[in-house]
Amino acid sequence: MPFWDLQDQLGLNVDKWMLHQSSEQPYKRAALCHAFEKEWMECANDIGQIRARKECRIEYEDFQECINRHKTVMRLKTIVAQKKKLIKEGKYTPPEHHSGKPEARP
Amino acid sequence: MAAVVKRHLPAGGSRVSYSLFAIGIGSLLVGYYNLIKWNRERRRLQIEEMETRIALFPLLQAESDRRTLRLLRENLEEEAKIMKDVPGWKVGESVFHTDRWVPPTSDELYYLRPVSELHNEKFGLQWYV
Repeated sequence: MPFWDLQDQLGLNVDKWMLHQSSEQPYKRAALCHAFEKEWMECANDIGQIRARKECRIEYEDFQECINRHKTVMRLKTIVAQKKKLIKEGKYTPPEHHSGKPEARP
Repeated sequence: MAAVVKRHLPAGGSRVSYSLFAIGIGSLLVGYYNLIKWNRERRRLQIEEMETRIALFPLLQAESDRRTLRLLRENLEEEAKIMKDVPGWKVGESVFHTDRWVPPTSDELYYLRPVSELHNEKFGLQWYV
């Protein structure tokens, strides 16, 4: 697809390493969302944007969730709101180890 | 009056400034030498500390993993208790479509606890601002 593809022709990697998280990192330290990005890219590679949007929607949503964590935050917020409501009604008390004292065991 | 009175002064004389230069530069060189030796010793000590950390790493990682799993289990049980009466709520539902293990964020681990614990987890060992 690239016209000249100079970097592959010359065997160089001048800036292709910074194009995505899943490229080789220094000290082999993987990014936090490495697996999601790898799955999405393997799914969506070489099939064109229109097909990729349709067929790789699940992987893409998981990848975006890993980065932004919108669904996680919404879920935690609903649980905390419900917990506050129950505490106000008096139906729920948090267990003892949730009181912020330092733990005795690791 | 005739010329200048004959002065009984020593002929020429060593400059004090040369000896001061020598003392200054000499102390610099002695300082550099000691610094280089001590830095090499510090590097050896640092390597030893790093090797200690590498040797202990599996133990610490295992402890941390056990703690993470314990916190997740406790959170799951609390969530079951809290969301008992909420219609249509699946306890422990994963927000991802995959069933790979996704390492939990610190928010997920500490969201039911006082926020001081979350701050301790995030910034407790950090000194820089």
